[in-house]
Amino acid sequence: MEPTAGEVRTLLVGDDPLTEGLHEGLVVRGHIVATVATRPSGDRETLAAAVDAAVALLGRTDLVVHVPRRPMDPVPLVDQATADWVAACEAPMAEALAVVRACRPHLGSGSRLAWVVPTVALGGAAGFAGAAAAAEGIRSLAKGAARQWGSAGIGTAVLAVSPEVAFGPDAGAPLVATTTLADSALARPGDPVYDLAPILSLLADPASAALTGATLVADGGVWMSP
Amino acid sequence: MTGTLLLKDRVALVTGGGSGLGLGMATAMARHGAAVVLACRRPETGEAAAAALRDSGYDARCVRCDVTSADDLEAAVASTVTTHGRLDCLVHNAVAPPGPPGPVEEVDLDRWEALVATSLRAVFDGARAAYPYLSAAGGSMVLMTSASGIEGSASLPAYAMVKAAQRTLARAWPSNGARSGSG
Repeated sequence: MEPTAGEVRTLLVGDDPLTEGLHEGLVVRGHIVATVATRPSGDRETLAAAVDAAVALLGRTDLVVHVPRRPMDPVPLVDQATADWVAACEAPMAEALAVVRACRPHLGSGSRLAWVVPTVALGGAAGFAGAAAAAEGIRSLAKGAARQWGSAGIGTAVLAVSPEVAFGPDAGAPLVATTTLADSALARPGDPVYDLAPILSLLADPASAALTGATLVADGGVWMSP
Repeated sequence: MTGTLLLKDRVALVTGGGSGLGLGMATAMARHGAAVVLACRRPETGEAAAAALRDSGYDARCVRCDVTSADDLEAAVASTVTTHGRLDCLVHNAVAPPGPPGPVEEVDLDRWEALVATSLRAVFDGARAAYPYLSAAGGSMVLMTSASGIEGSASLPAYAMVKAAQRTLARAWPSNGARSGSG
């Protein structure tokens, strides 16, 4: 596919309903989108090959969005086995590093790599401690990559979304209620198609170039720190 | 040591306690009256350190413990509780070398695995093993994190990831019923 000036070529990495919603929203915003699934294998070599193939179709990559895997059901830490912890915390961080490794060769000046994580990274969360720790690790990765790649004109960002969006309303709503002091200012968590994808689209705009390594909270106005 | 012994009758288990920062913290706690158990991968180092503390009049002993082994962590906790009857504080100080600075896209898989095994999985396994005793004693778990976990790191991004995750784990653990802190 021959790229056209003005078109945003976006590589979306993930394979869950949130990813599907972002895909739809980005297409609505005029992006040309290729999606790479991280499952079932999730290993570096398979992911790198899939990214290479997707970028070959896109022609270039202006924006990469990674939606790391995460557990969808809450389990208290004391009830988890080591394997649960590895799946919830270590696997998503390893996946994020694999995405960095696979995508970096395809990122040039003006391009950006963004992650979408739940806001539990900011406050910890009962039942989702592993996912929260992973999300915070990925926020750190975004900062480190931003510092390393800034001189090459490559930016990073993190979009922190409501637990209701990341984990679904049944698991996410109680989390919001127990970990925050305030209700949602907008009384809704943010829709992937109509609220979240447009923010990712803004990140692909050269006008946002000065924003790098930062976390944008888009949860309908629950978390307002700092 | 004069004045109030802040940790009299308390028991602390310190991973990576045979030298450096871990031994320093264990020594400080011993000076404040705590019985300290040094959990060390290299018992020859830990035994000598514990003996030196005992020579100074403190209650100290060493247990061999590779923190990347959940069985070792469980055994270290069990040994501590069997000997002292309680556990008030678990300090997770053990850390794997972060490796040389380098591009984030070239983070070595083996290095990454060592980092998470020592600084994250070991925290989880240690917390699970210690939780019943810390909970019974109203005790605490202390994690040693880093400023890089807050600001990210251009030179050691993988290390910073692990330290950031540790901070959130420390925040999450109390909501499971235990107190923890990171320093």
